[in-house]
Amino acid sequence: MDGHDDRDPDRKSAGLSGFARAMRAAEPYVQASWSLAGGVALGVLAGYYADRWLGTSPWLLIAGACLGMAAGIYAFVKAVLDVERRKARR
Amino acid sequence: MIQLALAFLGAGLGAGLAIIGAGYGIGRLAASAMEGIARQPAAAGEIRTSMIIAAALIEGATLFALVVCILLAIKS
Amino acid sequence: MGALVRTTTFARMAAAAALLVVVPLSARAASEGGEVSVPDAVIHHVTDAWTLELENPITGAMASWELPKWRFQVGGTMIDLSPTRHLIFMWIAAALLIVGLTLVARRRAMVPSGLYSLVESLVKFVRDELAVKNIGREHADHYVPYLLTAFFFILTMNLLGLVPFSATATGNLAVTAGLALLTFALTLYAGMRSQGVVGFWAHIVPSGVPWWLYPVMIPVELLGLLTKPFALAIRLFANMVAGHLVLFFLLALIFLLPQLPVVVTPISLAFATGIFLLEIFVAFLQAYIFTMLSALFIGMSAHAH
Repeated sequence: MDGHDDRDPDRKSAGLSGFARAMRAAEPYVQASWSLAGGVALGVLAGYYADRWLGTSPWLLIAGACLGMAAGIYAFVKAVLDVERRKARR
Repeated sequence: MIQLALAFLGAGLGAGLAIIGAGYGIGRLAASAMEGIARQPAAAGEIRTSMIIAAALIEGATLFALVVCILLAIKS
Repeated sequence: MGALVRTTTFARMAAAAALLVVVPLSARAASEGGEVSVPDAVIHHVTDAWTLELENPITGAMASWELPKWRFQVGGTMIDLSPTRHLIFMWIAAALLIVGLTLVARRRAMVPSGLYSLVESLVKFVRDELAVKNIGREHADHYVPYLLTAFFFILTMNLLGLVPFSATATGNLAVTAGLALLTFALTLYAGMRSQGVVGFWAHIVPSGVPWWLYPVMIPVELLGLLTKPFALAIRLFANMVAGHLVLFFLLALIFLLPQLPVVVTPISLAFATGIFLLEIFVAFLQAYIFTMLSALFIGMSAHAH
């Protein structure tokens, strides 16, 4: 159960529990999905405050939400591809 | 007045729904943990530890919802 | 015979719970002329306040000490550092830990006994089960002091909150946010130690992103970094507050249903005792979960490449 792993040749994860190893393997993907959520949230907030500042409700909110979704999905795909590329390079 | 009543109603419904989600999730977690222990009793310690940790994480998520319900319910 | 002893013990516990909690609540309502509404009284017991209060359970007399105000003006704003109830209990917990653990650790015999043995088994548990199993054997010793501090401090604050007439310091969002910020700082330190100071901040944004998207990506990724300590703070705060709220509302049922006191009181007391025992378990569990997740995040940050 402990550490004779071909994917971990320099035994960096010696002594880890199974739960910790699973969380560590899943971490880049969890980080990427937080980027997706954060992108949408940032777009919505930016659109809402731009609306309040310029008075053009609700169009800037909608535009901000769409842009936020696009940015979030872009960040998510880029992060996942980055992880895959880094694993292939190792 | 009607806003206050709707806030209380929202708080009650929200708390109930949140607990349904938590109960179902933790129930399924306990079921798979027991099945895992039944299949391989030697791993019982590690399965039990992971089960407790996962249950606490699920409860943490439920308590986010509960905090929102409490914020609604203490409007006065 | 064993069953008889157990039921009388349970009856004694229930009676003690009644004396210590119900009578003061009723005495409070009586002394204020019955003007305090039940939810307000419950919320007053759970939240922070500028006063320390004690009630004599027999006579119902209430003593309330107003805490000193330490306010001073800096520039244009007023800075208010006055101690509150939760702060006083944080100090009590810290003093208990400093004095108690120093006294215990001094008796370092070859064969441990008594309280030293208990503390040693807890320390060994935190080091072996939490630190090594989540950070890995090579870096664990570096972070064990912080994890031990967090575990014992949170455990003491949680358990102190279960004593009658006291306040739970971890039931304050500021306290749990402070603890989560410390974990966050250690996460950043571990990341900077493993990837270099510049390398850590340069690797936040995934590679291959065109430069004109950086103003969008950097806040997004920073928000993603902050969600983990935010969840840590909210989890501990909500668990503590929710437990105590449930306990108080179960006992407040006696006052909310004043028509049938003979039926409501024993049921309410039985449930309240059950929830009280559950709260003791939750105190240990939440300290364990906070320390374990801190160790997990530090480990993930120390190995993120």
